[in-house]
Amino acid sequence: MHYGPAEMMVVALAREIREGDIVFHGLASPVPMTAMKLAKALGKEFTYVTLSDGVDPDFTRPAVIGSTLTANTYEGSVASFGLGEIFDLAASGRLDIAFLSFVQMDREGRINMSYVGGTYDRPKVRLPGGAGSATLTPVTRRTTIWKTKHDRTSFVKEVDFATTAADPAKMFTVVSNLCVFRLHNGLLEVDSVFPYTSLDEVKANTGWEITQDDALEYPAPTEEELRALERIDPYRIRYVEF
Amino acid sequence: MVEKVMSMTSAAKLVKDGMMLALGGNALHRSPVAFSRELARQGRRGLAAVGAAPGLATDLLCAAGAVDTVYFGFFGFENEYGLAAGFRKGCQEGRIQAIEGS
Repeated sequence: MHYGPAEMMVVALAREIREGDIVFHGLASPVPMTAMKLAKALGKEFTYVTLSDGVDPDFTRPAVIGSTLTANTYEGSVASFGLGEIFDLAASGRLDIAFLSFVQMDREGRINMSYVGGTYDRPKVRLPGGAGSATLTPVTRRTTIWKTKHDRTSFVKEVDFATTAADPAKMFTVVSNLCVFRLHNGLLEVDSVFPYTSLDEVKANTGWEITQDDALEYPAPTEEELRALERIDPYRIRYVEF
Repeated sequence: MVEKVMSMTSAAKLVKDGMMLALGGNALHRSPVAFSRELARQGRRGLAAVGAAPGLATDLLCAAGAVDTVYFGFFGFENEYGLAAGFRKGCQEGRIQAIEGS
């Protein structure tokens, strides 16, 4: 079956979830939402809490609009669990992953969601803000980031502002449309490169110098994963982010 | 029982210049846009807006010049609807103070 960056990223995020995990994503997150539905469809046992208060919404009901609020993350839920409770759960150390994205990221895993250019009080471009990221990054067990546009304006040498930052003591993973980075000794290294691209393309699109000479090829999506993906996302809401 | 139902015009008059206001909803969902349109029409000024993910109703007040401070975690819409234009422009022109929390 044919696949592209959208399918590859959804599959890669779904594979990051482990049995028994409790995972969360917020609004504006179609790729993680699709990955949660896919992981459920593939039979992985985990708990999925959402910004719509829905716990484990029915993955067989496909998302119909490009929103991760609304019925897309609520219909068929087994329980209602509010955002305040989700933050309490995280603060008590029981949330495994909060899926986050960014506008700028540097090699040490600093994330900028606040502004680009100028100053905080008089920015050139005011960004939406980091939502819960500064609270959740320090307390979730693993940080898993996704970014659908891997280029030098996103993966930068230096962020204009650090809205949140990686905890070097914890697992920190970045899934882009080209590769998977993981944090080693406080620095992001290319863990593996997606089959349709190369380490050279990753280097050309990353604002910091990548010194490693080779990287593993990330395993392509399986037929089973791609078939399940078509089943749970027939309206291809995952493409909203591309 | 006290009767609380009133016209939108009277309801909006309960909000005075300089007050802090929390409007419900998230981003484009459950946003009380008609109420904030009425506030803007009445020319309210100097409001402080507060919300975890303030939505279209708060952005409309930003665009109308009714808001000078916003306390927020995420102020934008989802994906194809982009950034909150009124808020962004207000911050960039120095008219709105952004107090970002998490």
